[in-house]
Amino acid sequence: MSAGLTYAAFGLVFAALLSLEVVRGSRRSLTFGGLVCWLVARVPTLAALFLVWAWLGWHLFARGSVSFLK
Amino acid sequence: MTSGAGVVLLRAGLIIAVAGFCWVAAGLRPFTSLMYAVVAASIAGVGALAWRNRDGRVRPRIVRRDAAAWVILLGLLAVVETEAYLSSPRAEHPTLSSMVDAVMDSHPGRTAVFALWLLGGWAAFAWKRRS
Repeated sequence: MSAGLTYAAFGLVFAALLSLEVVRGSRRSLTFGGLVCWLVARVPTLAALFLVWAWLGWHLFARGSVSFLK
Repeated sequence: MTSGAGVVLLRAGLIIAVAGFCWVAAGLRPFTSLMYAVVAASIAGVGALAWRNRDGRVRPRIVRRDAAAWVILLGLLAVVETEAYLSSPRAEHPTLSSMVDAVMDSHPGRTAVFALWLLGGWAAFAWKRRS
């Protein structure tokens, strides 16, 4: 895939995610925040998500995001 | 001064303080002890708030069908990201992290990303939601 196609693919997915959030929010149905709330209400998934969040911050800022580059 | 105005001022002060913290943190160089300490303190701070607010955590009831749409879209995101990550060169196959790198090239950009990361952690783990 060329860079343009990759950006388009990301754009489409993010647009779909945003649309789903707006629609779900207007219908008072399951929003992304609601999904996260459901996940973190249980200790195992809370711990797993917290570790992912902490790792993301560590690699982006403490180690510099250079580590992501190929 | 009413208590309502006091709460507003307190929240405004807190927001300004956190924004200032993010600005200073974004100015630190990676791979330095100070940056390690700032990130570790941020993680510990969110973790402490999450621990303090652990009681009364509300678990909303969800319908599997509603969750399926999120799972499918997030799965698609993972597929696109993985395909890009496994391909090279990076310029022709940008990943989310390489796009974030472009934003983090500037101090304001790094500040925004740091603030978003901190806010995301607080919203997901430490925010005490009412039932």
